[in-house]
Amino acid sequence: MSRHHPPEDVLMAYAAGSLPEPHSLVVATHLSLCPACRQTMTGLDALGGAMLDDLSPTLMEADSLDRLMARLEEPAPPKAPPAPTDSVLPSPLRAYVGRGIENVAWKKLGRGIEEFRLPIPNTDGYTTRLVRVAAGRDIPSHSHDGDELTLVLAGGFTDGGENYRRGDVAGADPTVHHTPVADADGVCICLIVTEGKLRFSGPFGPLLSYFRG
Amino acid sequence: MQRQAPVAPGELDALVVTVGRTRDREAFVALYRHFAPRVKAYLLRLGADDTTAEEATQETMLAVWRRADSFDPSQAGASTWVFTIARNRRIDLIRRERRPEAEEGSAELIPDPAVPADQKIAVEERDRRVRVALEVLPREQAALIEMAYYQDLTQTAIAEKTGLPLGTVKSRFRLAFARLKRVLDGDMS
Ligand SMILES: [Zn+2]
Repeated sequence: MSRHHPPEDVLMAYAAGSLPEPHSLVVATHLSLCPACRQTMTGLDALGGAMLDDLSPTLMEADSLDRLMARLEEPAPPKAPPAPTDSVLPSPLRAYVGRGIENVAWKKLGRGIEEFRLPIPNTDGYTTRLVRVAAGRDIPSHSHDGDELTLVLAGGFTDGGENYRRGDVAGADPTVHHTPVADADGVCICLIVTEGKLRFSGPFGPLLSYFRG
Repeated sequence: MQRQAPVAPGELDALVVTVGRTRDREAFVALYRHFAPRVKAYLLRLGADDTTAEEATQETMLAVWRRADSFDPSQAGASTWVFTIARNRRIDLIRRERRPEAEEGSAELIPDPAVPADQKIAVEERDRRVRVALEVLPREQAALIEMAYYQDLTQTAIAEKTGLPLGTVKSRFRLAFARLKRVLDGDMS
């Protein structure tokens, strides 16, 4: 069971459909692993349904219904098959990575840290990556600013007295100094979405900044 | 356009089920009359122009027709189901992004051990509670929820737009969310 969930406004923005795609990927992956947030999400979807019902109906074009009825027998576009499951990557994320965790083309950053950037089109200003940190590795402390979301996929880390394990989400608080340490029991793999091209702010952000200048 | 009498939620559910089972065109037209003008209103509220809103509404209703056989009234009411389709069509057609989702019913989802199926609140009860929650929320909190669903605004953008300090927006939002959750969890006070 996850103990650290996405911030509430992030969950609501996901339900409302206004959350940027990289953050939505973090939420969808978390939802695969967190029944409590799935429960919350059904309530937030129902909220959207109630608000839809409350909207004053607007005028449709005069030929709208006819055009629609004429299209009912059009063949439906083929459905993409669900991504195969993976012990580390839940299917929403597996679909973006495009391969299983054992075939990820990791890029070494040094000091036991590797990254893989996820190609997500039209998301200028965000960087989405998998980051793999060797067990027990500690991370140089920096202050930071900006928004970041980190989701643990394997292993875990401890930051600010809190321990984060598979499924847990850590948001960056710009006012806090982070000194995260990967848990000693194995390699730690996280999905990290960073706002801004070269700003890193979450638990592993300082480390990435360190290597990128 | 002829004005329609409001349709009861249970009736809408039954219409979707009928379309799913028998491809009944009359039932589909009834769904169209209820939902299409609301879906279009929703898209217009979110800033789509009339042509785009019209097209995305067509696509939404087409998806309703095609996927009606997967509608499960024990999971969500018809309005909630249509809302999620309209929301996702908007992301796809207007925002031009993909919508990652946890696959409902997939074996890989970690199930909830705390709530046995027979103790989950029924869909109708949940929808009723959501309505209560919307009514009891103080106006300034309800306004924030509206902005989140209908204006694509982040808390920072809401703060800028309303002139309220970000801290105030955040704390009001937290209050609203906590209130909603309490009502959904069964505490109606
Ligand atoms: Zn959660």
